[in-house]
Amino acid sequence: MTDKELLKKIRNSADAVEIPESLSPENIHKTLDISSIKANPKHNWHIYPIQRTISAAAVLLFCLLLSIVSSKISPNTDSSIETAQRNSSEHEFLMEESIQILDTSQATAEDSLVIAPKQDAGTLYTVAKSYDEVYTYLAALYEEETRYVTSGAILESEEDPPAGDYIAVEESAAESLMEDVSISKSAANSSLKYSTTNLQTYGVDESDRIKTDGKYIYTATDSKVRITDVTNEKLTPVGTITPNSSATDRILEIYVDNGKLLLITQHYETSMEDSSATYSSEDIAYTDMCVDIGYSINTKCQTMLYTYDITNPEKPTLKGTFIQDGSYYTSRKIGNILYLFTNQEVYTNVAYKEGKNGIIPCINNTTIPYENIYLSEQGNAGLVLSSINLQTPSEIVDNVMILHNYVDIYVGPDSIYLYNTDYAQPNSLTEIAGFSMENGFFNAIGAASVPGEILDTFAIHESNRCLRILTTSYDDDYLESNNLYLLDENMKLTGSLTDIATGEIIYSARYFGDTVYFVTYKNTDPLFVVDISDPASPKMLAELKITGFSEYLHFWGEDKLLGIGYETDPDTNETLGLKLAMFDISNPTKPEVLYTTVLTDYFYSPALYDYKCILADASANLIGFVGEYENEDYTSTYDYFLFSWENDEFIQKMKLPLSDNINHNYLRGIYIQDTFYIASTEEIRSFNRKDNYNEIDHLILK
Amino acid sequence: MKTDLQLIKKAKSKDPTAFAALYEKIYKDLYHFALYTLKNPTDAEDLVSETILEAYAQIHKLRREESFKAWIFTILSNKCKQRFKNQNLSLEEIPWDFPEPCSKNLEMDTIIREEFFSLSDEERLIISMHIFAGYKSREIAKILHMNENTIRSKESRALKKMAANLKPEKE
Repeated sequence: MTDKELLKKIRNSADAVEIPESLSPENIHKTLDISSIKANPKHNWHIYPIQRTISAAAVLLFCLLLSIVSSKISPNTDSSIETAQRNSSEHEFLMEESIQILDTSQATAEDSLVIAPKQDAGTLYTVAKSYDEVYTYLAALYEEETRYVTSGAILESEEDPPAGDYIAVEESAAESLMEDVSISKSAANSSLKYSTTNLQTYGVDESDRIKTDGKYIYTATDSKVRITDVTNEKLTPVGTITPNSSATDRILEIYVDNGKLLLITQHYETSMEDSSATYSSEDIAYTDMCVDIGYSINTKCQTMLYTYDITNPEKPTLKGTFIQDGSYYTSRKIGNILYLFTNQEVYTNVAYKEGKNGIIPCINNTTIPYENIYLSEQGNAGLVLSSINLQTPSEIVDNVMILHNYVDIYVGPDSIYLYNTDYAQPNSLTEIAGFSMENGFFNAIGAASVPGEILDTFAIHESNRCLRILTTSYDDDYLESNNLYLLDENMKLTGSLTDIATGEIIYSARYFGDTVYFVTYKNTDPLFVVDISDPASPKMLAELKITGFSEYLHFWGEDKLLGIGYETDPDTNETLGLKLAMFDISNPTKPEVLYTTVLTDYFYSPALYDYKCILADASANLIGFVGEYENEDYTSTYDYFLFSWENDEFIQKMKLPLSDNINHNYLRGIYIQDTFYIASTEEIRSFNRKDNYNEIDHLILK
Repeated sequence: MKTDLQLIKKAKSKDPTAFAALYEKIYKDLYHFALYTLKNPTDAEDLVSETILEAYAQIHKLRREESFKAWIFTILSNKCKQRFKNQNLSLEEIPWDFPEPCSKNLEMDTIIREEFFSLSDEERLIISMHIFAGYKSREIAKILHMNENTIRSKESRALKKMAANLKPEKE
């Protein structure tokens, strides 16, 4: 059977599968009939168990959409024309000035500890002047989405609609661009030498499922954190942390630092009630936009931060609890300040909420003040950002909510950047807003937009408060080219380099001092080196072509650059296997390939898509990651590879077969002094670095 | 696929009838895509619903030169990817029971489907993007941020794997 025939058979096998009633176009028309839903609230609706409430929420929203879609009322054509015209004039403006700073009135970064009022981020995000302005904004947004709904009744729905949904948009983008640069720091505190989580930005800590402090290894499953004593060469379970929470709560990730363990969990509360009896129409604001389906599912999604004192790991003690509305998006820790990002859709709340209470998300049960709320032109999603000083882990330092249009987040050493691609133009643009975060206090720096899209997590980088961005843009024929933009501390463009590597896209990037290194790919892997020391005129220093491409770049020591990616056949373009490459960058104008190692037929590694999976530490001379190999019978086997760099060659120190029963995405290679550990949420194994990596101990985590 | 420019234009100005008409053309592929990628009818139903909702809210962002189908499948593909990621986080997988297909070739379909479901998440996603969404390797590569040839070799490997497993029983 040829591939083609098989594809056809797969397709045909699907044709036989019936489409669920709820998705059929006929049912859309049925749902149109609002009165029939009212009469029979259970019609076409599943009652979901608690775990599935997010989906249930989405289905309810879908119901709302169906009623929008299927409404017989004719649209307000005047206003839609107006919108279209406005968009097209903006569009021309953007075309004329392909690079524009969105406004000149940037806030200056706050130097003092005085809490300054929040400033606008250019014209991209503007600070609300009152709650009324926020409600009016949300109502208008909601009305725009739903202006065809005819009924005067109410749709009761969940509190924060598709919680996972909006994360999905953002994270999927971030995750897929191979996350690139991090300088793995060797923890220097105390005399212990051990590895830490591979980070995007030096000094900006990130959470993970597995952490160590040099004496203990902490592993987090969905329901508990296990603490394993790894001193004395033996692996000894000493304690666990199980947050006092409900069964549907889920541990997401942890931080371990300085005698503290931070635990981030997702908390859901779900209730279902008969809504028609609860509220009379007078109670409800904006009733004309709503549909009553007779009952309501309320899902409240909150992100919890538990802070434990682990100075005695056998008896961790809870020191603080912090609650933030919304589903967890990401977090960062800089020094003693934790930055917690959650997502909550708010505009639909306008319709569901009784009066105005509960529309704005809360942090520690306190509503976010209006002067901390940023509005934008199309901000459907609410990004809630708070800072917590770990000395007082139950208290909030500062917070903002930014109503945005599906942004990605980059946290540099001094600022937070929100960026998103605006596809409204024929040639996409990246819009970026910067926020300072000094001592945990947020304020806008400014905003800018540049042509192209950011395709790699490491393509955006802050250094000395100046932002550098690598983008890939597409011309009208979908031909790719790449660009570098340099912005100053007020987010004004100082210099650029455009039309780099036409027909190729950026695969990986890394900034180091006044130089940026990045890899594009089509048939070969050019490594580009650009001097960015003069903000006004970046200069291309070199272009080095080798076969294959690097998905991840990591600075190795003073003058080398490690690339992890694929080797390809330059003639057939076929992928041959995972590849390690070491570049000599001591002379930036003449980078050289010192050595490459190809793991033939190892065709995948989670390291290519999640930098936290990588151990790369020049000070300990270790490079470790999981490789997936395909056997002749088409099953996969997994091996952990450990290399060192000796005499200008990669030397394989270890190739350890891994069990299929562990989650390879959460497997981490760790070293502590002379011991090497392979830790997953299912097991920990230890190996002697001084004795050919012979296995010392093996602990199954149960 | 042939794009209906008139309908897309109308849908972009938030005309619900036009949107529904566009949806009607692709809803089967959308559901089959989600079902074959996720292996779970309830998840598939949910994600398609979410995708429609989001697509309608975002339709003004649709670039003129893109087809509606390609665009909406990009949203759905990203959601599937995200769902895989979330599944990694969850302790146990929600069991699924499959609706019985109404087909003459029921037995063969079931075998094919079982074999297809034994592929990895990524392999199912790539093949689904090919056969249900109609993407070419180059487009899949772009959406998944992977090398085009990696996509081709992954798909080819997956199909060979399936063919090998089908052989003893069927052909």
